[in-house]
Amino acid sequence: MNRKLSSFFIAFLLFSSGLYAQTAILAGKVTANGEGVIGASVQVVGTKLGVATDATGAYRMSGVPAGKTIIIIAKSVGYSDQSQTLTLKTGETKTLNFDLEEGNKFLEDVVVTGLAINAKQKELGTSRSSLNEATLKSLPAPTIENALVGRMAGVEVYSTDGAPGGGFRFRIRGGNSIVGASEPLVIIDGMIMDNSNRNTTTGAGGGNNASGSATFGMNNGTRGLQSINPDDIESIEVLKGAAAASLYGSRASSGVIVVKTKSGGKGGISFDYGLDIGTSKTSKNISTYKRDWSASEIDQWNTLQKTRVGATYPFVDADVARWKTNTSQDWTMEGLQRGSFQRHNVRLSGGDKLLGVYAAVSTQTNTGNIKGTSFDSDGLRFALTSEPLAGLSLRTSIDYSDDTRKQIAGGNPGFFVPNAWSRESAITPVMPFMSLDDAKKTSPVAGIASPDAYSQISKTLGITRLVWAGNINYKILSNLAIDVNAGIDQSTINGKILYPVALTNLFPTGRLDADREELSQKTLTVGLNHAWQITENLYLKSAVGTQYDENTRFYDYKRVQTKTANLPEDDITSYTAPQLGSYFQVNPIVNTFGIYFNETLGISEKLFLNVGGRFDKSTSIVDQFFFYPRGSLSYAITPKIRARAAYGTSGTQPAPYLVNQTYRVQAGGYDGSARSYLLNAAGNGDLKPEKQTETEFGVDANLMDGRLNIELTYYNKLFTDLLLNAPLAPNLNHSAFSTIRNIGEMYNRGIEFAVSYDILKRDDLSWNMGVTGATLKNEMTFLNTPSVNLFGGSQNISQIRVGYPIGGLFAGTLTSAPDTRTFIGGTLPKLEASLNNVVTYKGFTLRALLGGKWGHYRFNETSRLLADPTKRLNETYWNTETATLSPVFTDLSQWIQSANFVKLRQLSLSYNFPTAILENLKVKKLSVSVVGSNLITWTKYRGGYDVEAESSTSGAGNAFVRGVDAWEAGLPKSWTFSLNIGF
Amino acid sequence: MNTKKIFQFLLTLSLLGLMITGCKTEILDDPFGFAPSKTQTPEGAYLSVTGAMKSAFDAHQKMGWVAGVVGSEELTTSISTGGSFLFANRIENEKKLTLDNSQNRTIAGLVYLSLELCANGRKAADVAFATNAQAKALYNANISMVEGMMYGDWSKFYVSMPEYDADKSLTNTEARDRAVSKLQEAITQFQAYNGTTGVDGVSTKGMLVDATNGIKFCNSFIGMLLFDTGNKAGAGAFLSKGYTKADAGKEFGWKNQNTLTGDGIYPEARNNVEFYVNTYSKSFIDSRILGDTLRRTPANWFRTALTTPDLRIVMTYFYPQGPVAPNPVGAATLAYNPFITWQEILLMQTDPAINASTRENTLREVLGSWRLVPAAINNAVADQTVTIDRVSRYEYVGRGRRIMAVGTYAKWDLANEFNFK
Repeated sequence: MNRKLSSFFIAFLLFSSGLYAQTAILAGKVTANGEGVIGASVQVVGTKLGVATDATGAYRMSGVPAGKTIIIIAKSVGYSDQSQTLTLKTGETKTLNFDLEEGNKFLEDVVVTGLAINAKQKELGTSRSSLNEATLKSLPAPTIENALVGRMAGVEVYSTDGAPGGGFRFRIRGGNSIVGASEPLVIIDGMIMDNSNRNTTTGAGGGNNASGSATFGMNNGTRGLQSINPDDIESIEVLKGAAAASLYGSRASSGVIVVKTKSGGKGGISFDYGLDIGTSKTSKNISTYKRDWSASEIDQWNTLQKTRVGATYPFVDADVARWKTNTSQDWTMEGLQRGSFQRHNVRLSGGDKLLGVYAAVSTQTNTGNIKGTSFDSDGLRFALTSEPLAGLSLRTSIDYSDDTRKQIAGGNPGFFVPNAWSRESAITPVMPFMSLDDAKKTSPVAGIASPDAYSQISKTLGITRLVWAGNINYKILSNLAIDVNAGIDQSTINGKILYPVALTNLFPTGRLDADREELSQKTLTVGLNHAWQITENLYLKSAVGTQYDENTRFYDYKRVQTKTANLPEDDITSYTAPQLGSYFQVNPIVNTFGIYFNETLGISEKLFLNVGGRFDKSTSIVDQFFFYPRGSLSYAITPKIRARAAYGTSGTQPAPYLVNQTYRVQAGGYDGSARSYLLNAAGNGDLKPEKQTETEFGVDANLMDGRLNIELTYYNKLFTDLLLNAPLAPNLNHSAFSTIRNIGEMYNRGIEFAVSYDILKRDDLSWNMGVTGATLKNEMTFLNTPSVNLFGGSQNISQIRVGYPIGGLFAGTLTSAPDTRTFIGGTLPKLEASLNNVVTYKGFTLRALLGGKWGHYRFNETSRLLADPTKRLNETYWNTETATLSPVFTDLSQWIQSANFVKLRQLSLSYNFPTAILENLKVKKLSVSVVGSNLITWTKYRGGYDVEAESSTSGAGNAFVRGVDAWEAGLPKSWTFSLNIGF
Repeated sequence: MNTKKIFQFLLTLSLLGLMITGCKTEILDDPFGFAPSKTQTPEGAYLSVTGAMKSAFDAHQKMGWVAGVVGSEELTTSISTGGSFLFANRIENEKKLTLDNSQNRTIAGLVYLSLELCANGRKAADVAFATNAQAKALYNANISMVEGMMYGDWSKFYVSMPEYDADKSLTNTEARDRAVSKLQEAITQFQAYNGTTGVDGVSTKGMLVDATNGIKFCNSFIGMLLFDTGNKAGAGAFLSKGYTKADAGKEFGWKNQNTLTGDGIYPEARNNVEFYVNTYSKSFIDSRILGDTLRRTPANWFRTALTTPDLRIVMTYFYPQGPVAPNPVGAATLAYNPFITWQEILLMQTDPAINASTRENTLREVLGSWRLVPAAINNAVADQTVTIDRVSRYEYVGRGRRIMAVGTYAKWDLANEFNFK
C-alpha cells in the first residue's frame, strides 16, 4: 500500500511539473486613446481562460498555454474587440498590450422606448407595435390618426364626424379611465406633445384638462398630432400598456405613442416632391332612413299624420298630389357634400455626419364631406443633425404649422334632420316627398331655414403650433453616454362660433362666441446610459435619468350678441350685448417630475432581464413620489423563437387644482361691488393618480426561413384607484357634496395576435398576408362608494356599474330611471382584427386591408329618432306604429344593437418606376399610387351613416361614453392619388 | 479616466441634481382660487364674512321657501313646477318631508359653506385684526350672528343634522342651544364693537354695522327660536329686547332691486348686505305673485271660498310699498325681506305665556301695517275666528316665511342625503 502511494505521488509530481512546464504568463495593459480601460476582458480564445483589467487597465494572466499558437482577445463595452495571435514559450512571462478603438456595440442600439434608454427589440419583454416610414408612405393620410386606423393590434382609432383635421379618439387595450379620456401620451423626438382633445369654443369648463384627461367635449376636438405632417415621420411606436410604458410613470396608463421624425445627414442631397390629391364622401349604406316613397305610401303616411295631428293638420289633397311628383328627396344627405383633399410636400434632405439638414414645406387643403367643414394646413419643418466631435451627436428640429379648421357648430351632420326639421315644423317633419316650403307651411316658427343655412353657423379654429425639440447625445466614456432631450410645444387656438344675424330664431341678432387657448408644454429629459461587459456572455446595461415637464394652459372665453349693422360679424367689438356671465378664464398648470432607471442584464444573447421603474411627482396629486416599477424577461427558446413576460405599472393623473381646498371670489350685488368667497374646490388631500398594473406574456416566432412571423401576447391590465367624482358628507367636505376620489377598479384582458406570412416570395412577385387582432374583456370590479350613479350619452344609455363593462349600454323605457335599467351589451369590441394583403409584382404594389370588430353594441339613436311616430322616417317602422309614444320609440332596449362589421379599410395600388425610366427622366425615384379608404362595409347593423361613428356629444363630461350612433357621419369613403418624385 | 472625463461626468451628475432640486413640483393652487391658509388677511377676512352671510341668507330663504311658501291650496293655480307641487303637497298633507333631497341638498350645501366661511373668517379676523379690537369685534359679531342663524334654522326644520366639521350629529335641541349661544356671543361682540357705521379703513360693505340693530336682531331671533321650539316663557325676555314698531322698515334683512331677468336676481340687502338669489326666486316671484293675483289679498286668506271680487282688499304680500304691477319691475320693488319683523315679535308677545300685548292691540297694529282699511281691521278684530295664529301664519306667508310657524308644519326627518361616509 505504501509503495503504491509513493508511486502515485511521484507520478502526480511529475505530471504536475510537466503541466507547469507547458504554460506561460501574459501581462500588459489595455488602453484606449492612451488611457487604461477598466474592466476590459482579456481572454484566450477557445479556452475558459480569461481575466479582467484593473483600475489602471493592467492585467496579468497565468497558466496561458505555451508551445502552441494561441489567440488572445481583448473586449470592452463600447470598444471594438481586438485580438492578437502569438506563441508563448514554456514558463515565459510576456508583455502584451492592447489599444482598443471605440465601437458601437451597445450605446447606439435601437431606441424603442422613447426615453433616453437604449434597448434592442430582443431585450424587451413586451410586444411591440410600430409603423415605419415605408408603411406610412403607402398611406397618403391627412393626419397621423388617419394612418393608424386599423393598423395595430389592440390600438383602436376611431372618429366621430369624420370632419377633417381632428375628431379622433384612441383606445389602447380597452378603456383605461372613467373620468379621463383614455388617451395615450404622445412623445415626439423625446419630448412630450400635448395631444389632449381641445374642443375649444364650447364655453363649457374651459379646458381644465391639462393632463389630457379632458372632461368635456371629448370627440371632435383638435389635437396636437394633426399638426405633424405624416410625410415627416420616420417611425411610430405604440407602447400599449404599463408593462412597456412604466418609465413614463403617472401619465402612461393609456399607453404611449412615440413618434420619431425624419432627419437628414445620410449622405448626398435629395429633393422630393409629393402630391396627394383625393376626394371623399360620406357613406350611407347602413342608413334606415326611408328615402323612397310610393304614391300609396304617401297616402298612407298622410292619413296617419292627419289622424295624429287632428284639426290643425295643414295639408290638403293638392299638397299630397304634389308630393307624389317628388318621392325621393334624401334629406339625410343634405348636410353633406363631396369632400376633397390636396396636399403638396416639398422635402430637402442631405448633408453628412458633420451637418445634416432636413427641411420640408407642406400645404394642405381639405374640404370636408360635411358642409361647412374644412381643414387647411401649412407646415414647415426644419431639422439639423450634427456630430461635430467624436461621441457627440446633436439634433434640433422646429416644426411650425398654421392651420384653419372649420367645423359645424352643432356637432354632427345629421343635426338638420332631428333638430332643424322639428323646429321648422312643429306639426310634421319634412318628409322626403316634401319641399322645405311644405314644411314651413306647417309652422311659422323660423328655425334654421335649410341645410345650407345651417352650415353657415360656423365654428372656425385658427391653430398655430410651434414645436421645438433638441437632442444631445454625448459619450462621456466609450460605455457611458448622456442624453439630453428638451422641447417646447407651443400652440394657440383662436376659436369662433358665429351665428349670423337672422339665420336662426335662437339668436336673431346674431351671436359670436370667441375664445383663445394658449398652451405650452415644456419637457426636459436628462439620462445616463452605461454598459458593462461583465464576461463574454454577460452584460449589464444601466439607464438612469430624470424627466421634468410643465404643461400650462390659458383659456379665455367670451360671448356676445346683438350685432351692429355694417360691422364685421366675426369681430367681437361689432356686438353690443356682451353676456357677462359667460366670460371666464382658466389657467391650469401641471408640472410633473420623474426619476427613472432601468437595468438590462443580457445572458448569452438568449436571456434578457429588465428591471426598472420610475418615481413620479406632480403638482396635481398629493405631494409625494409615486413609484411605478417594471420588470421583464425575454428568453430565446431557439434563435427564431422568443418567449417573453413583463410586468409594469403606470398611472393617470387627475386634472389640476383638485388636491387643495380653495375659495374663489365672486362678485356680489347688482353692481358686482360686494365681493365674497365661494367654494372653488373642496380639495382631496389624498388624491392619487389612477394606477394600472399590467402583466403580459407572449411568444414571437420567426419561422420558415423568415417567411412566417408570429406574435402572440396575452395582457392583463388591472386598474385601481380609478378617479370618480363621488359623494362625501358635505359637513366634512367644506360644503361640497362630492369630490374627485380614487375609488374604482376594473380590468382589461385579452390576447393580441399578429401573423405575417409570405405566401410568395420571388424576385418579381411577392405576396404577404398578415392578420392582426386583439380580444378584449373589460369589467368594472369595484366602486368604493354606495351611491355612485354614472350615466351618460343620449338618454343616459351608457353607464358605469360594478360587474359590467365600462360605459356599458343599459336599456329601459325612455322615462325609466337610469339606475333601474338592464344591461344589454358593452361598447368595446370583444374582438377586432385586420387582414392585410400586400402583393408586389415588379414595380407594382397592391395592398388590401380588411378590418372588423365583433362583440360590441351600439345605441342606435339615429334609427330610433327616425322611428319617432311623429316623424315616420324609419323605413321599417314608418307605418307600423300609431301611438304618439309607441313602444318602438320609447323602449330603448331594441335600439341597443349588435354592431359587428367588416370594412374594406384600404385598397391601394402603387407603382415605383424602374431605374431605366428614372434615368431617362433624370430623377432618382418616382412613384404613383391610388388609395381607397373605407370603401365597403359589411354589417347587419342598420343605423345612421357609419358603423363606427361616435356621437360628438356623448363624451361631454362623460369620457367613458361611446357607442352612441346619433347622426354622426364617421370616416368617409375616400380615394386619393399620390405622386412622389425625388431628385 | 482623465480629469476632463471626470469633470464631464460630474457635470452630468450636477445637471441631474439640478433638475431634481430645481423643478417646481409642489402642489399648485388654482391661480383663480385662494387657499384658506392664504386668506388670513383683512381682505380674506372680509370676503369670508360676506361669503358666509350670502350663503347663510340664501340657505335661510331656501329653507323658508321649501317649508312653507307653496301650499296645497295653491296647487291648482300655481304655474310652478311639478316638483314644487308635489313637494308642497307632502308638506301640507303629510306634515313631513323625507324624500326631497334635492332641496335638502341645496340647503345643506349653503349652510355648510356658510359655516365653513365663518370658521375661516374667524381665523382670518384673529390674525388680520389682532391689533384692531373694534374691527375684530365687528367681524366676530357678524360671524357669530350668521352661525346663530344657521344653527337656529337647522333646529327649526331638521330633527337632527350632521355637525359641521365633526363626525357626529346634533339633535335639534342641541342645535338650538348652539344657536342661542352663538347669538348671545354675537350680542357680546356687538356690544364690544358698539359702533353704528363700521370701522375706519376696514371693509364692511355688506355687513351689519349698526350694533344697536344687531343686538335687537339677535335678541329677536333668540326669542323667536325659543318661542317656536316651545319655550315661550323663556322667549319673552329676549323678545322684549327685540324689534318694535319704531323699528319698522329698519329690521335686518334684504330687498330686491334688480329686474328679474337673466340668471337669478341680484338684490341689495338692507344694511348693504348684498347677495345673490338662485333662479328659484325668479320662478317663485313670477308664479306666486304675478300669476296669482287672488292670493295677493289677505282678505282671501281670512275668508275661504271667496267668490265675490268686491270683498277683496287689494294688498301686497310684501308691505309696505303698496299695490304692485304684475310684472318683473313691479315684483322687484316689493321684495324687502327682513329676517324677522316687529310684527312677528308683537304677535309672539301676544301669546298668553308672554302676555306683553293683547289680541286687539296686536291685530290693529299688524293689520294696520298691512294697510288694511280701518273697517276691515274692525271686522277682523270682531271676528273671533281671526286668531293670532291665523294672522301669524299670514304674516309669515305674506313675506314668504311661513317657515316660522313651526307648530303648523312638522319638522322633517334626517335626510338620506346626509348619510354618506
